Amino acid sequence: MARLTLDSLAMTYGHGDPILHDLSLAVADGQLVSLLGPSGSGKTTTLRIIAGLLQQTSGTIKVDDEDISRVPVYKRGLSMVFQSYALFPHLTVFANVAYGLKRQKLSKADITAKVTAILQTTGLTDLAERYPQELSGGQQQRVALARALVVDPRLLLLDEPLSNLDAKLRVAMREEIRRLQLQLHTTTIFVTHDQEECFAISDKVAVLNQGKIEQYAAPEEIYHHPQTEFVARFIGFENFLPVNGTVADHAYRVGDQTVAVAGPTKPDAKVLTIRPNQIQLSPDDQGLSGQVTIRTYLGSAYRYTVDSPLGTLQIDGPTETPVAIGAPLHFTLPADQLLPLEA
Amino acid sequence: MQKANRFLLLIPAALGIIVFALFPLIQIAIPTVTSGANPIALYTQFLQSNYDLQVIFRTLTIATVTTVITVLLGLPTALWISRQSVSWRQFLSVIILFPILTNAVVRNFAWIIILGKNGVLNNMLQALHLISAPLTLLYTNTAIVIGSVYLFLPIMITTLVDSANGLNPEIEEAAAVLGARPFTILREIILPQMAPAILTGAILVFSGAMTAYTTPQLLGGNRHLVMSTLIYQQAMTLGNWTNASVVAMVLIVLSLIVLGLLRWYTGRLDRRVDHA
Amino acid sequence: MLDRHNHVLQLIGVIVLALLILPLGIVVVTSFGTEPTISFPIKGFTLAWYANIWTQPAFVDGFQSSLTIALLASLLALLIGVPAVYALTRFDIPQKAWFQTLFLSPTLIPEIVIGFALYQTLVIAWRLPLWPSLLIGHLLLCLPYVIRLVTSSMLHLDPHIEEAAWTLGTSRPRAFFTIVLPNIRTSIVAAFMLCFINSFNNIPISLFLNGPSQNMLPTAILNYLQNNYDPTVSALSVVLMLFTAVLMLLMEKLLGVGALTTTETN
Ligand SMILES: Nc1ncnc2c1ncn2[C@@H]1O[C@H](COP(=O)(O)OP(=O)(O)OP(=O)(O)O)[C@@H](O)[C@H]1O
Ligand SMILES: [Mg+2]
Repeated sequence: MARLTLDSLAMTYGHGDPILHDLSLAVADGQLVSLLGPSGSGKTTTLRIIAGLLQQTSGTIKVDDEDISRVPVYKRGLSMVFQSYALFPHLTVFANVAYGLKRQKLSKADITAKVTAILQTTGLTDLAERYPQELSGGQQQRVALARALVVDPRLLLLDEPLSNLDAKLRVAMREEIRRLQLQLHTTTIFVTHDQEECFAISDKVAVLNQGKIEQYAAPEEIYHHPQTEFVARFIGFENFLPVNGTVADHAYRVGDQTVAVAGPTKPDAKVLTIRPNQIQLSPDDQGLSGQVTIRTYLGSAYRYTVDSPLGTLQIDGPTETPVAIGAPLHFTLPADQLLPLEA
Repeated sequence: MQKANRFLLLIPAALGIIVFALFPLIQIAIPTVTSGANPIALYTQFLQSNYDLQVIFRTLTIATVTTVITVLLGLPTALWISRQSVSWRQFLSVIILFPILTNAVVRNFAWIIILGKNGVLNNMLQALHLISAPLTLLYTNTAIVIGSVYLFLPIMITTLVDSANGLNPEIEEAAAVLGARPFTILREIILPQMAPAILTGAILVFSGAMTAYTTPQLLGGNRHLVMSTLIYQQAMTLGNWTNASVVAMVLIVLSLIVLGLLRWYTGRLDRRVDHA
Repeated sequence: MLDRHNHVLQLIGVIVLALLILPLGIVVVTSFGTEPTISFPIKGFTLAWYANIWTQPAFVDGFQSSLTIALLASLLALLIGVPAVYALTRFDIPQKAWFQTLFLSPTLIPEIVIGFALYQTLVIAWRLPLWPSLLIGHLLLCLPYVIRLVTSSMLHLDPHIEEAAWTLGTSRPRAFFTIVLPNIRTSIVAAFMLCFINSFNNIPISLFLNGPSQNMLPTAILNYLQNNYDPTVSALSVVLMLFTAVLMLLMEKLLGVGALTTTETN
């Protein structure tokens, strides 16, 4: 239960290239913030620096008003759940969960009480005497979570905790994590590269790209108003139309076409972006026209790759009326859905 | 393929071992029970002799101390090796392997040079004026222990490196995050995980050190006999073959008991490992 | 953390490595000394002790017989060990565990006892000459290595590939030589190497089966050390270390880098 403030963190491994540059982030008390980014963007590095498992090259980490930048890992009073769960293979579930409390030199009775309670909350009571190898992946995940939560950490760090689970369990477990996090009001950093997962459970999302935060906002904000092309691409915008000027205050030039938008134009806009399912198919002889070159079936829709005067576009269409490859496709770009991006 | 043919493939090896290992063993065991007043007379006589008991005690003590020292030195070394980069690890493993494959006489000979009256160590200590007269280092129990440690440490290290390479570093990090300091991690997290390998190494070292001949022969001399050198002395110097056989039988039984105990203990640890 | 930068681990590791290497280094240095007895540090420099090795018939003969016995024992161990392993891993033999124990039982008998028992039985009772007795002793030493290494690689080998060969009309023995053998080659080479090295270096078994007419190199050195303390043994040790190094190189060439560091213990 605490605030976390990262101030201009930078990290370089050995003599290599910098992995993190000037990374700053403020997490409010009791919030769950996700670090979202592609592989290699520095999510794990950031998390390990917060935990104290890595020493940053520069920058500071504060929990509430305490600067923990140089505090050794075993004194930081945080908790972490690892991708591999990292359960102690030689200890039972009970002893695994009790480990952190034992380190805090609590009395036996206190330890037993707290462990019993958290095992109850996480539904592990019946498994208390098992060894980790005797548990399923989902159960191991729960133990890792219980072990991290039982110490009542100031901060909970989760590094892709769900990536080893099958799709169904992932959904169940992420809800479980969110439920426990809200119940215990634990400030939490959740690392993932799965946007659906992080949107589902986060208060705020920080999108990481090559060691920099591209955008830090609530999931809804990120979903509807990505600020950079990178963020937009990462969360499913597939169409990026290069802008080479504005037309009055309501439209942009794209190639030799004019594309109208809602609201005033931004002089610095570089691209216009729109999701495939936001482009509307229109009756023949209306709107723009292109030729279908590829068609993929997505289950709920067809996705067409279309050669159009605006360039190659990804457009979703209904499954009831398929358009053949090679056939023309007519569409309009709804002015209120087009998003101009400045970077 | 016919049943008979299957056994045909097994027969040379089986027969070889029965005829050339088990039969000779029985052959030397028989006189030990037939030549005394009663079947156990020679054994009780052996176990009542102070001198012989001393040899047994020396044998077991040397093997135990050797095992403990190899674990104490081998464990940190193995951890250190397992935490190097792959190429370094390979280089270090080759360095460890080299002594294992080098003749034991050569390896013990090195310690004769070091521990002798005018040996490297005495010369060095005298040059540093730490001692005025040479110490008696060679032909002592300590010398045998040093030689045995030198002989078996690489085997212990190799065994432990294999196991340490399999440790998941995230498990140690998880303990650190929960408040464990490095030494606590070593004691509570690393050691228990490596316990089966430590026992495997201990079995190899103990049985090796207990039955080794060359080291006690070269570094212990005639005054510090262990069971294996006693067997040789009884048989070849004193020509007392039945006595030699008695010692041989006791040595086999003792080493089987110790191995059995260590294996039993390893088995108890297996619950955690088996399901992995 | 206990990583590679941990100073305590590093300190112990470096000291232990030094303790493992330095003694052998001292032996190397003493082999070049000019004094008639071994001294360190050395005065002067000579290669005379290396020349002296060849004037000792016990060493020259010993080297020859050690080499011959080690080669023969290793080959024989493979010759009787591999068929036995094949039978145990591919046929449904009811007494499988019993045979396994039997084959590994020589490792439970201290080598010195094996040597003594063979001496009593083969040499004294059966009046067998020393040479075949020695060969038998070393064969007993080698057999468990073959059984262990080859069994584990046979267990890793998919039995179906052999069956595939039979369905293609290959006879069982032919399938063994053309399909199975090439696939367990590594373990066979490794077993051979280990057998060879262990036999070549063995003392306790050879000890009793030695005689004026029959010398083995390690026991010859042992005998020489009883009466002499001159750098000839240092020189011979250096030669043996070079021999070990060549064997290791050979092993690496034949089996690859990884094999060198993993075969010894299992
Ligand atoms: N120990 C290390 N030494 C050198 N470079 C490293 C080390 N660990 C990570 N890196 C590099 O740092 C960058 C960021 O790695 P990091 O593990 O933080 O990425 P990530 O966002 O967690 O990726 P993933 O989604 O794949 O887990 C990568 O380019 C990686 O190669
Ligand atoms: Mg990562």
